[in-house]
Amino acid sequence: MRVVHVTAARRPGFDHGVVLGGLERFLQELIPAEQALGLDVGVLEISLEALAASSDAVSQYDWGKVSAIGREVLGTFRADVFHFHDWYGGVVLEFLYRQGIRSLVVSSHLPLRRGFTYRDVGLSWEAKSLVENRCLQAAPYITVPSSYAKHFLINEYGLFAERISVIQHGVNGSTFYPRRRSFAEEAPRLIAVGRFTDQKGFELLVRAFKLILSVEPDARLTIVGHGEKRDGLCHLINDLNLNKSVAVLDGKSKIELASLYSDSTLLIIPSQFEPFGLVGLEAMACGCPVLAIAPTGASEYLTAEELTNAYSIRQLAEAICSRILVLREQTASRHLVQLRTKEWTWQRAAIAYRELYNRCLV
Amino acid sequence: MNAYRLHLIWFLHQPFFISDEELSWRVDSTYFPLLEALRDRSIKCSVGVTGSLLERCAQLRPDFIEALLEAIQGDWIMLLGTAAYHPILPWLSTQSARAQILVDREVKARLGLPTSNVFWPTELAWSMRVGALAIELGYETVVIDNCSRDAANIVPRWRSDSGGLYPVVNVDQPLGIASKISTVVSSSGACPSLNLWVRERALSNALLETMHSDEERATHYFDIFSAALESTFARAKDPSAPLVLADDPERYLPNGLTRLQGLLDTAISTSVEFVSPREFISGPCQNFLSYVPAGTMEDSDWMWSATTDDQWFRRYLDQLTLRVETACDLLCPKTEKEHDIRRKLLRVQDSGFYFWHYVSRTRRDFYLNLVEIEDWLNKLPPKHKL
Repeated sequence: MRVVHVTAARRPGFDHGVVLGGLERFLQELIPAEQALGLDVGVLEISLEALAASSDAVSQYDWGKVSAIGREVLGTFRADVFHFHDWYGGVVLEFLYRQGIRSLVVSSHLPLRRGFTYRDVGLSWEAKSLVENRCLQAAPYITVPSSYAKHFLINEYGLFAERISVIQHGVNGSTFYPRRRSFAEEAPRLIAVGRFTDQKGFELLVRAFKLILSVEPDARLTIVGHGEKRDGLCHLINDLNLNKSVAVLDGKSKIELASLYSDSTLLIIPSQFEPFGLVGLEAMACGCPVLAIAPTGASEYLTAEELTNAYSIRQLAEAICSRILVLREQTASRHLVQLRTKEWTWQRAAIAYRELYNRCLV
Repeated sequence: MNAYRLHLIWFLHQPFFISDEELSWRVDSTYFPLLEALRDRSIKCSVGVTGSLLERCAQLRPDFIEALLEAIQGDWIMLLGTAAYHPILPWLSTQSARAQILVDREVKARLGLPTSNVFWPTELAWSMRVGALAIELGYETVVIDNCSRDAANIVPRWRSDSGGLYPVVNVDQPLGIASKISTVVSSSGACPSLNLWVRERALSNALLETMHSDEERATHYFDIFSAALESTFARAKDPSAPLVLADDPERYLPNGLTRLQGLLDTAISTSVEFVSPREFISGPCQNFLSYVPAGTMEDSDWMWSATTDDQWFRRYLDQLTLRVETACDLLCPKTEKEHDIRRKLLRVQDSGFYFWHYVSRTRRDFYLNLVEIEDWLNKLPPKHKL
């Protein structure tokens, strides 16, 4: 079976192990897992130029022209199943659908209606929203990484539950495993990983961290990532005089990231919206406990005590301090945290996708 | 003295079709952080919350009601009266409009939340009749959008087009604007005076633009807001008197919480003083208008009847409202079923039907409520039927 993943043009670093955004990370891990199952997997990248070229046509509801752009982008690519990621491949889906092809899967990684998107692709918010809605309404099969994301699609997009499959992400245990065998009592080291965008809530965490220092004066926070908000985040850290206790690091390789997780007391996921939270699973595989703001897709693999409803700065600071106190009491918790991730493999995810692809072909 | 003085008003509402789960999330992610952000900066403000939202919070999140009460008693916020749900009051029958205002008051009294004598008509949908109803039901002040104030003194204009004459509805930005004006409305035969607080739309729009700006540093994105402050205050009758900045926090939070905090910090440290409700009330009315035209806080009137579905809904709602009002007294329902029908009728008057995003998510619930009301009406004995 030949499967073609249709996605945005990948940024430099995809093939060199640098940790990127969730969608790129997902493809980085899923494609080899699908290939290991014997699937013939290709990737069709939609260039920024193609997206920009479709912008006017979408805004003018000229779907015939959008389809023509899609045909050009598709070129000689052929597949038994086309697997689209978010709205990026909308131009190709438009063309294929008009050709009568229905072996189409759309994976929703970051639904636009939650209010977050990348800003670097040349389409307006409205245009993206139109394309995304068209993809979700047309595709016979939709996947999401968590029940939370499924619930969101049902509520916000009016989709029938039966059309949406939950296929959770996995974690690569050969890369993400504990690097330290002992974890002596020391000052809390917090870590947060992800793109620097409003969605990820890092500014909220930084502001909360200032309050945490009044309880845990030796605490340190490391934020790892890349993105449009990096400068703003650094300015905020500077404005709050947190330069000595907060470090901002550029995107790291997976191996480097595993080391950072292994050295950290707690990973914080302060995201305003997180369809799954891959970084949480990876941190846990390295023995690093997690605290995430709920509701979140990370509740697929987190327990109630690892979730907080604290959206305000003060409440988040209190929740983190409470979690640090609890973890100090639970000396064996890092090993137990790691054990919980054993069943979460990319192979499991790939098998679920293969089953879905087979259903497409029936 | 600071250059610009503002009185902040936040308005909170969640339509009936929002799930309990989402409402609870909203309390955690938006309402609590907002109260905390204001309190941390010692900003005192006015807050309008619909009775229906308070009623649901009392069941789902009593901690929020307690926090509100504490803030009111601590003089941090002043609670405004409003409608029970979120209707366009000028469109409603008098009985329905009265019921919306009364039910809101009843809920707030039942929850022990002290309410001021300032009334926020949802959508800032004002008409002289709304003013009269507000006075009749015990209010002394109504908040309006500046479009109503600014339309009071324009000369009606028309433009000629191929199909004939069309009204020109653009409102010029006038000089000599005032945030507190008074008018006289006819109510129960008397002609009592009514105070009007005027929300400046340009400031709210600038706040929205600032919150969504690509600028990263607070001092930079504040420039957008600062420019709007400068141009608005430059037209004020008394530039040292406070103007009203009012908006819905749901437009910004939770996604923009840290940006809002940065904006407030920059505002306070540079040129803005946030004036408490008590101080705003104590300031004098600066102008008098004999007639204040109807208006809403939205840019265009067309948005309320843009589609056939919008028009169908309004007609259906109007017909059923008339039939329900014939069958029972909305101000004093006699049976549990009548209470239930009143609740359904008042909540489908929510303007969320027209603008809430994503039709497939929202409109079915309106439709189902209308069908239930119609079923009940159809089963009534003939003497109750219109």
